[in-house]
Amino acid sequence: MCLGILKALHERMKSPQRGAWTYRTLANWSGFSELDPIFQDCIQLMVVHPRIRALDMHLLYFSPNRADDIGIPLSAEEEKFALRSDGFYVDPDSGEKVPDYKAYLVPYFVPAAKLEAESRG
Amino acid sequence: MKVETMIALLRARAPWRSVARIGLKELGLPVGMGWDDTVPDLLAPNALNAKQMIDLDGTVLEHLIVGEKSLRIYDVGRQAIDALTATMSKKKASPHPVVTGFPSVLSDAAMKQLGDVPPQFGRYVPSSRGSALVYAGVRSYTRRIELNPNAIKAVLPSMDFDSVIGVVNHRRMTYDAVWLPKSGKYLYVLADYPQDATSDFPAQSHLALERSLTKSMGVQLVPVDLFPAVQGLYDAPDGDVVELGFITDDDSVKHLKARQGKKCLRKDGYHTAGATFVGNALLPFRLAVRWQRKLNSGLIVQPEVLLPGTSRTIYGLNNHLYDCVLRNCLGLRDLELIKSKLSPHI
Amino acid sequence: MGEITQQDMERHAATSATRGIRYRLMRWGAGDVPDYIEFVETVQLATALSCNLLGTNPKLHKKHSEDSLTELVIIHMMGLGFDARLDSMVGGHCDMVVNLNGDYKWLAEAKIYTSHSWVWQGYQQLATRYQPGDPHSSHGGMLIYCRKPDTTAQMVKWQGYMKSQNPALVFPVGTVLPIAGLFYSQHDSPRTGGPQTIAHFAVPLNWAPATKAKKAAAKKAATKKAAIKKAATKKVATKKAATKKVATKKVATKKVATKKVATKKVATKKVATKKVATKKVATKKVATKKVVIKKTAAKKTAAK
Repeated sequence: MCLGILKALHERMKSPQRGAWTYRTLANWSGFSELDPIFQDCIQLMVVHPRIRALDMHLLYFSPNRADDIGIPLSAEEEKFALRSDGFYVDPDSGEKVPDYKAYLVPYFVPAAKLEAESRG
Repeated sequence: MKVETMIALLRARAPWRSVARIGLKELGLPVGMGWDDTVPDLLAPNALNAKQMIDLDGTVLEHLIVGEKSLRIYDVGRQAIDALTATMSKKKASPHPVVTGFPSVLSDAAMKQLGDVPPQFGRYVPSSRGSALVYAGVRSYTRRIELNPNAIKAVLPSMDFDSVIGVVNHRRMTYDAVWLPKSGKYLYVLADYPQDATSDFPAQSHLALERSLTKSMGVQLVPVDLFPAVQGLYDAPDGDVVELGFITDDDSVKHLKARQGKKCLRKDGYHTAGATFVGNALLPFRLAVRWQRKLNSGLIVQPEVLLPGTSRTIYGLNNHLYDCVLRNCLGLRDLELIKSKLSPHI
Repeated sequence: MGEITQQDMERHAATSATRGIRYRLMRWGAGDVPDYIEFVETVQLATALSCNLLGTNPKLHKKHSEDSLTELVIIHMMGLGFDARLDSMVGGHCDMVVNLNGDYKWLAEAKIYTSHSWVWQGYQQLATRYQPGDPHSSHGGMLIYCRKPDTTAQMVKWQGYMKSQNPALVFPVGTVLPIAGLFYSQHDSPRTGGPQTIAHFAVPLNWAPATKAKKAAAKKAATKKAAIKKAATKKVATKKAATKKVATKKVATKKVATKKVATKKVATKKVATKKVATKKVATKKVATKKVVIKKTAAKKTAAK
């Protein structure tokens, strides 16, 4: 499964477009289901395994108060606090802490330095 | 104004990250992560020196005028503007209870008691570039909130929802404004338009203010068509296009939105490739542009204007657009900036 | 929205110790940088899991050399996301170095438990040569491959031997990990004088398929052992009780719970149900306002 995902990634790297690739995006490209726990294991490996390190993880915020929200990327500082198990996240519009914020933060992935270098050849 | 009032007004009305936080930092005030983290420091005794109190008062007042608004522009002529300015500078505030303690943030209970209140004249605010007439009111509206489908499943286990929308009846104070610049023939009506309100929210204020101004000035007010500014701003060299609705050569309608912090949609790969492919025959009808304005401290405000045309505006007989939306404006300088960008095209 | 959220990721991470460790490493990489102690505790939990994994199929590793066994541990640690490698730069040829962003290090030496002196040699290399002595490399480990049965007893013997070789050694209480026979030793770095703590891991690699006669003999030996073990486990048990007290204190002050994944599973389930419960309360509040549900409207029309 990991190889399949990597293959799909390398295909995408050919175009200069770089988007915010969510679990669902990656699942669609590689033909798996984002809900499959084994798929999620593979994404974990894509990020952390020292020999792979193909992807870096960041977070997007989908505000429950905005219709058709396309998601707001978190700053590095916001990510630091949001990732903690006892962390928090402040809604950028209201300035208030979002209760149950982890249900509104969506992890997304970008090519890691290693993958960029590999795709350049 | 009291510190508590100024903070309450900002908290209720100014987007935290793009406006409030920057406005407070610009005045050298302590800013934490979110309001809960910031307010205690601001309310501490002697947290603000005398200058900061005055500056914050000015910041809050200017934000009441320009923050999160639906803008209509009217061509009334220089004379009419001067006459209105002279009249309004002497006018007393309305006796309506909504204006008591102007400006303020009324409690839910107080608003409930007042019910819906159309814009009532509150204050005449002079400045170096012009004058503002500020009106207070109360309006109820519905807010849509996205609920967690899993949480609903706990209550209704037999149903499987992809998304659940909650509708909340909300009441809030409105602060509408009329901007009377010192030069030019246009006057500007800025109707309150909160981010989470539906698109019909500002209509009542626009209607009420149009009527009131028509009465005061003795001329029928007709809003200027802003639709030409869509193509105009799209073709302009500056600003970042953050939202774009357009019709392609083969009549398909496309709608693009850029995420915060991302580059201009004009340079977007997907869009540029499309433009080249169809020979640049793109007809934009909906456009949001964002500019950067550097403050004295080096912080940057990013005022944004949205021209919310629809595809029908291009095709229909009634291809006019009378409203535009101002977002992330901090003060009068942002209004000036947007004014200067729109004027060449109207 | 329909996307996998951070909440979903945490749920996935809570389903196994392996996933939990990988998720923690993802968080570190995304900006929630740990302090050295959190790094050490995660590495040591991962090492315990890796050692246990080796021990699940001792027949397979019957003929493996020290280096081959260590290589398997390293591969597993990498699979959990650690930058683990055979190191040739840190003061000499250390068997395994786990490093985070070049800042934090955890060094380990591996030995097959052929004799006390053999393992002692490895320990000495680690303690006096390999460990640099600075605070961000002040923790390390011994991977002791035990081919004989009863690793707990072997580790008791090993600890006794250490004491006899160096009475100044301290054996502090430390985090309880899911591996039998674990203990901690502490010494002062000969380079810097700073305290160095080493976790001693026993890898259970005993493979001895028993025949009938062997079984009977084993039974005899076992009862004898049991008596000795009782005395030893009593010692370890009182130590464990003291360790538990300190460990629970440590748990209370640490940011992330790494101990006892089994209880964590249940705990996370409880938290999840609590969340649903508090959400129920929250949605109840919202329910005083109108809630627009498409299907209900359809029901109404159907009822009509």
